[in-house]
Amino acid sequence: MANPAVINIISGNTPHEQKSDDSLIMLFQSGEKEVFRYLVERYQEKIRNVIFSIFNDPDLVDDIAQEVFIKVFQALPNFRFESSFYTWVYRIAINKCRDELRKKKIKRFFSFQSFESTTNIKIENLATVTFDDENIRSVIEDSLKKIPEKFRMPIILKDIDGMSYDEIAAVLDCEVGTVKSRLSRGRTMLRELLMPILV
Amino acid sequence: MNQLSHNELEQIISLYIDGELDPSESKKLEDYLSTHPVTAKEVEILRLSKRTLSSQSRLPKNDWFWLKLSNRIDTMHSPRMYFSTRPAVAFTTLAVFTIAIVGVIYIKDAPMFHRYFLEKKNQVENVYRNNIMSGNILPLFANLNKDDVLNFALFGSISIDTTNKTSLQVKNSDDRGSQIQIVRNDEHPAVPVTLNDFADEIGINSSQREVVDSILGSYRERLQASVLVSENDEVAIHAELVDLNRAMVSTIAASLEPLQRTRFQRFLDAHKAPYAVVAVNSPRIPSHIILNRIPKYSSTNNYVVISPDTVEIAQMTINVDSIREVARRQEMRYRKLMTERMVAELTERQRRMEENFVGMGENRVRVHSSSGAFQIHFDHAAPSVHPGFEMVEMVKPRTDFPEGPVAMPNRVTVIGETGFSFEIPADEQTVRELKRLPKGEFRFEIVDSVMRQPKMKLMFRSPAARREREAKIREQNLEEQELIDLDSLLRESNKDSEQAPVKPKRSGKEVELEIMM
Repeated sequence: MANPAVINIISGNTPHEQKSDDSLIMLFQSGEKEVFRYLVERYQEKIRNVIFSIFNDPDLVDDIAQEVFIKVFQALPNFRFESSFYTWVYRIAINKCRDELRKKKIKRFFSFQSFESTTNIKIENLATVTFDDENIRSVIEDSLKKIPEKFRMPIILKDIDGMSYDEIAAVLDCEVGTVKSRLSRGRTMLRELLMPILV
Repeated sequence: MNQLSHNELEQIISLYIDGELDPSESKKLEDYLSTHPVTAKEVEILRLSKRTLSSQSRLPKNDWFWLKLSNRIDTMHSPRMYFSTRPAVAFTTLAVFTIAIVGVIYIKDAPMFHRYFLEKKNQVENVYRNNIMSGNILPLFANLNKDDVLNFALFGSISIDTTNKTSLQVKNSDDRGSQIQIVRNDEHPAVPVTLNDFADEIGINSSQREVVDSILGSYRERLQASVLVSENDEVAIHAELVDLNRAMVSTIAASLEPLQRTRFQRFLDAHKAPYAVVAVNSPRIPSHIILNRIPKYSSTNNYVVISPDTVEIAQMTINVDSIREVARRQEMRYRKLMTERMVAELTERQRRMEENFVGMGENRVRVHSSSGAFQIHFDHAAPSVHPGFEMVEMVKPRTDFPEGPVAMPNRVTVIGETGFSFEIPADEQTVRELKRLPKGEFRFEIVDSVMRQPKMKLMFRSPAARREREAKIREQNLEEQELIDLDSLLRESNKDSEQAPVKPKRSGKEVELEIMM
């Protein structure tokens, strides 16, 4: 049976915007580099938002997202269609974010002492604060940043980006069981950070 | 549940929160939670956390993402080393050449060299220190053809977005200053002409056609560098733009024989162009003089930079070639997008500020915005861009700004039945409110706030009032009298009211509208 993507290309009637990812990639690999634009425009906002979820800093987002797509542009000639393009780009984005986190030394290895003191300050400061939605959001986002990246990433992909366990496993290149286990451990850590503040 | 380890329970809770437990397991967990309030509280916290994170606000869309990315990709693929691929050799060669060239120039004219660099340094510093324009800067008119340039020369108008009928218009007058305006929903744009139409009607020969081609080509470069937009909705307009079309018409007129100039005058009249040829009988200026004296670059780099919140004059040196290269990849939809956003942002200015004034030399530049348009007014003629021969006298703007259909309805003067009057901003909302006024007749005067003169008189009538008036006209044929009555009413209101802002002129265009109430 003929590959539908190939038929799509040969017919040539479908506008690029409506072509599937695979069709566009095949065109790219056959030398039509201009089609890269359609792939970028299709996923740029998703990638920007996942980067934003990880860094929570809008100033960083576009630079990192550009780096991601440059990497995609360079690697696309060797793309072997073993995963979906979307998952592949996501994986590149996540790896890029990890590199950036390493570079910026944003690893969260809090000692018990520093964790306790931070939490106490928070409790003290928030004692008189009424928890409206924005306060709660800020507390949760701050707490999420304190979780080690290995456990934080599945929470971001699941809770913020709404991915399924299978998709997270593909993006993080691990087993579904590992995803479940990391999610569970990450949430336990998050809960332990939130309980003293929110309860 | 009670037999589960702590870790196993945590994992089940995690699956439960994600809705991944089957109903029977969910029921078991819920039963367990009902008897374990501490664990139930923990589950509640996790649910709150998931709910909060899933509703995290999304970043605003970045319309410039692809443009920036494509620039970076192109830069990656452009050749970097022109001399040698071996870095050490290349670096040494470059260093030797640089030292030799810099040395020769410096020794020859050291003060000039020093001044030049100081001046450039200051200009660059000024642009960045004051954050005059930020982000990517693109020419708004990147891909003009010669017909576009000819139409700009003849009518001072250039289309930005045909869908929304948005255009940039330039109007100038020797005694009343000059205006640049960007107008949306221009219902009566000038009917475009082509270079072929022009050549046929004037009857120019092939060598003259080449000269006209060259004139348009030279000015096209300048026109492209005259309007720049940044990704942050700022627009920079070169001050010479107000005079550029006049310079083009003058130069074209100078290249014609006297008889052709007469035809050119007729052509301008027929197309309602805002210029009149005044030196019909002057001898034709030879083409080599014309082409040699068209200044390739502007003598000044004064740009009026307008952001949604500020206006200033900036000296900017623009590398048009490089931004044109960026713009080459920019599709029409980007231009449309940019224009829509920029015009929308800039026309919102009026809500935040009344007017902006800024000095340019001895002249003042004023910026006004209203819903649908914004306008830059130069108190006096902007720096002349005419070449060094008598082209200035070749054409003149018509005495008044052409009575175009596009007025700037910045203010509405409301004149009541008892003679009182007041001014209000004439934005879309105001007009909507006006339409809600009680039944009867209302007269409004739309005042050009730049010129402080009435541009248009509007008479709003309810259907009942219209029927009454029609009956009256039928009986007494008083249509002309109506206008006189309006004038007398306005005169009376000005006399009675100290705040009467404007003395209307009969020359104002009078329009009658009916309000459906």
